[in-house]
Amino acid sequence: MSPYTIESTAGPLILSAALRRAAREHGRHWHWSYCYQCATCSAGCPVASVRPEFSPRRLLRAAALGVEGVLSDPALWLCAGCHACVERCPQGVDVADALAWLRQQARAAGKLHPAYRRQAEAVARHGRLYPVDDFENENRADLGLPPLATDLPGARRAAALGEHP
Amino acid sequence: MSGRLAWFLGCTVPARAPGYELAARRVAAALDLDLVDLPAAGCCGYPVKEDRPDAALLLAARNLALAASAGTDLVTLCSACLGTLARAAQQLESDPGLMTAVNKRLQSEGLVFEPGPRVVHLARLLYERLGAAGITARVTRPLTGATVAVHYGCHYLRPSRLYGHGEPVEAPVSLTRLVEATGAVAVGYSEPGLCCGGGLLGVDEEAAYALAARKLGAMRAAAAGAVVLICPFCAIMYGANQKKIERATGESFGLPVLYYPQLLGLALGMTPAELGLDHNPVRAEAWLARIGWREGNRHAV
Repeated sequence: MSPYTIESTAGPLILSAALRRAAREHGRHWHWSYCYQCATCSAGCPVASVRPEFSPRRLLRAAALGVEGVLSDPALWLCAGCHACVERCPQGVDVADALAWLRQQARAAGKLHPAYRRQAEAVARHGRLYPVDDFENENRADLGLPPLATDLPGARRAAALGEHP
Repeated sequence: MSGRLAWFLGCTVPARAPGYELAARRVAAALDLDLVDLPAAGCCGYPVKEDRPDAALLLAARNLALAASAGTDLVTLCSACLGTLARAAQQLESDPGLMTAVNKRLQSEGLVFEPGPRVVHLARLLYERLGAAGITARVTRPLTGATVAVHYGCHYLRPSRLYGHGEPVEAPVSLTRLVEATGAVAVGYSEPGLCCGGGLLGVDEEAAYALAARKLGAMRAAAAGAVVLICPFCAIMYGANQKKIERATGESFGLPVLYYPQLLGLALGMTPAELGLDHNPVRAEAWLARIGWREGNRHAV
């Protein structure tokens, strides 16, 4: 059960005016307020079909109301980014982008999923997700593939932008 | 649009799908598509976007700037790279303030983002430049008897607003036509638009495998002999993880997974070894034998 639904809330439901304001402000970019809760997004969501606790419809409404628990809901990280909902929303809400914005708010609250931190760290270290060394380039040469750069200082620096020291 | 083309390999293709890169390069050369390499190209930004979107945008922008300075469009093999780079280009082009801020940061590398370079997936490029008829005209060894399940994946098609490809996302045709141009039959199967689950792998492995298992099951039920796809993440789910999924679900799929350029290369008369098929995690020998491919008769029909 999601931590922000009324049924599951043991204590008081905490509403955050700041979250509500921010959702309204940023929601303009993806027509958030046009959502009339038809649940086309949730019904067609591949992740929801195997993880019913992931409901884009519910996440969007909870955030629009400013329900603070939404930012610590682990379901927030279950979006696979397939964009099926974006294509199907009859109101033109960019559901995927709205959820990405919510994950950014969660990140700002120190709740980034560790899998994403690890990925970002790898790119900041190598400029790409996987390091390339001379051994790798020998294997590529054996296949007839051109060598890759073993260091990408520009990409490393770009990937480190905003990184915590 | 410049007309000149550069490969954008990304991270995952060279590291985990060398056969895809090899086949793509060979097929492009055989079809007289001239592509250059951009040695300084790095990560597209996709793996960084959840942690730090600004860094992800900067990574994408520097790749686009490299293309701009080389006067090329970017041809991707990975659909996540496609989506990330196309999205960044759109964001930068529609927001002059953002473009200025990004260019200030790119200065240290002597790079400038300028509107222009188009980001296109290799499959889209083949469909636009040659089309199914153009491919068929070059086929020397039609893959008669091959029955395959075509998997488009998500970011080749969606979000459609970003790409303007004009094909219906719920019933796409481009990759199917390209596959049929080789002489193979593309079988219909249930839930063709279902996501591979790759984007979920790091967060919820079990859910990711459940999605992949459903798709592999649908393909098997449609009597597909192999899967044909165009994204290394989808291939990791259906190919590299197929054994794990079989163990987790108790089902048996045994479906070889081919990248489209590998399928096309076979139809152009290239050998499985030339197309790096031996680098694919699910062995394809039995399938190749079933479709009548034999060493020595590469030009036989």
